[in-house]
Amino acid sequence: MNWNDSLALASKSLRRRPARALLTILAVALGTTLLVALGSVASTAGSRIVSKLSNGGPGTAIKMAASQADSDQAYTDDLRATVAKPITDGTIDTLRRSPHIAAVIPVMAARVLVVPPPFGSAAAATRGQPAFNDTMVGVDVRQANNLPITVLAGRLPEAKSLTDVAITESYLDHSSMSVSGALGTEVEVAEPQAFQSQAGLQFRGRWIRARIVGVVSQQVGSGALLVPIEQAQLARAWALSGVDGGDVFPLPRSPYSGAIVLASSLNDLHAARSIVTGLGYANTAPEHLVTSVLRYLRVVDIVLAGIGAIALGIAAMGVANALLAAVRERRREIGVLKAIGARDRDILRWFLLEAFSVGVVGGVVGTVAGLLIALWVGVSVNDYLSQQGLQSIQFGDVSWPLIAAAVLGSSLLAMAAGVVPALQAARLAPREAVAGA
Amino acid sequence: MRLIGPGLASRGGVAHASKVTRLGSAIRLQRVNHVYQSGRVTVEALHDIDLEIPASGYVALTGPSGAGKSTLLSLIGGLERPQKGDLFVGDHDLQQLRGDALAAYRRTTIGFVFQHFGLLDLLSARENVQLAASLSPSKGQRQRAEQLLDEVGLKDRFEHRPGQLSGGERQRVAIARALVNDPSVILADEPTGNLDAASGMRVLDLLERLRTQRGCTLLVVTHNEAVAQRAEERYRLDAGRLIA
Repeated sequence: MNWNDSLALASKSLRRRPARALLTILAVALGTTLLVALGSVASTAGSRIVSKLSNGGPGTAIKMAASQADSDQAYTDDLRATVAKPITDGTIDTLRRSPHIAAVIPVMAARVLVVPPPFGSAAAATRGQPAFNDTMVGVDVRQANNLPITVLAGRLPEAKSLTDVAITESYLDHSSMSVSGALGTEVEVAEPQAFQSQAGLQFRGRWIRARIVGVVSQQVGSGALLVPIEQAQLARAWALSGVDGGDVFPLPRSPYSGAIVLASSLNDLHAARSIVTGLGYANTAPEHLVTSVLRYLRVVDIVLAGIGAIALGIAAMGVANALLAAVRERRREIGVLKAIGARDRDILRWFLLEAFSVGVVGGVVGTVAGLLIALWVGVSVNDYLSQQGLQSIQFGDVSWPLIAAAVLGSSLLAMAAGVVPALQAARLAPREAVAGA
Repeated sequence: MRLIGPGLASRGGVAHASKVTRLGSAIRLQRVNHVYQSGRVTVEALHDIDLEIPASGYVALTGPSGAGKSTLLSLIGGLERPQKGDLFVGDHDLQQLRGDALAAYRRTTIGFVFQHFGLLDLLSARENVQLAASLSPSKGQRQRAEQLLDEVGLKDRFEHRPGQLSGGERQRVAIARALVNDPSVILADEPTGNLDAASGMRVLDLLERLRTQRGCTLLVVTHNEAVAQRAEERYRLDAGRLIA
């Protein structure tokens, strides 16, 4: 009897007692549902917590400053900056060559004078908000997914755009504008340059006007404006074409004011951070915090997996019980099969495939149900978060390893549960064929 | 040894044009003893059985309930091994066969026909026969199954399940299944026991015809004197002892 024959026999045997088969499949499906739903929710919640700890960016992000680190930098998550230390393209290239580092994203911050509307001559007649000094943070917006930036409303500036700008809550506070009121309006920005005149050190501005396209929460650098890095580099070039403004406005000598260094994985975070520290740069990353939180999350995962495993264990007992009943019912059939020449392993395979089929069907049904429940939980949680004015959580990502593990795991577990009944069936004496005849 | 061919050899030196005769495959029991436990009681199922059945023979075994008929059939069919004595079927020494070898013996040498038919309810007539064929590693199982069902007169019943067949039809499916792997010995345990007289006789006619065509040895266990009388030789078992 080949595998196809055995599978066909197993499938038909299941259909003979549809109610029992359905209940057994439901037991497996319920166990799998619980495991998948808990796994999905725990995984999403875990990554969300890590993301929160790393200020909205990936947990592997290291924030590096254009400053010399002090001797205690290696022992703390905090930034331990001393004197200025330029970050050059050479520094960036050196970091990018490390196998522990997945990406290095340069950051350029520039001090600016921000003027909310109204502008121009009307300003004299209209009482508007006063201009304020702040910082414009320039990044490669194409890599925003790898940066601690969260879009609260609107969108990010287009890459390389010199007319798009995103604002932070700092701008809203200074301008007394609401999110909806600010979106789509324009802002005037003066990029300063120091120069010497007969009256001494003076400043002049390179004025730009940009449209506010989004509101963001960002931890790349402190500042009211987020712009494409090209805009910030123009501001730097303008400042460098002037003179050193001393303590008031020193020349931005470092090509980059900072960088976001992404470790290849959480396991590489420590090594990546050691490299940055080893190069002498002050840096900050929630390394120790993430590590200890991950330990707690791991405990939560184990507890949830334990709950799921208990459910699957109960399902496995259901499978074993159903198969034991089937063996009792089919004693004569098993005897007849042996009498006509079936080997022990043919009988074993028949029952194991029956258990496996229950596991596969239950696993698939349970996995789909589990994912749907996780999705439903996500929708409910997001409803609550939006009512509270909080940013929603990204649920519903399909974790293929989880799906594969759930279907394969439940199938193998069901088959394992079928081993004892299958062995019992395989060891039945062929004499059963004529017993009681 | 496999069949020689029609008209070339036969028992007793008489050639029959329509009869295929096998040489070998004789059944030989020497001082076979077998006991089993029934609760705390030890029951002597067979006592010093000496029996020789020639190849292509047709033998009936009668006796009251509990006489040991089914036990003897089980031993010859390789469903269990004799506890004492020698048992040979053709070239097979059943005392020496174990596990897969014993299964292979049952598959290739023996064809069982049970009183209770022993069909799997979940399979159609064709699938029941095909299942037995699938136990042998050969091709064309479906064709062989259909051909045999055709031969036993069930051409229109291929896809019927046992529950949709009459008793006589079920027994004919069981006979087709017994023959699908071309055995040299057919063991029929009360083959007419669950059938009315007319159906029983038709089943017996069929068994005898197929036995003649294929040259098999046929051993029928029966309570029914009319059935037993049709055999070439008759033996009676009583309390585990063989009475000529």
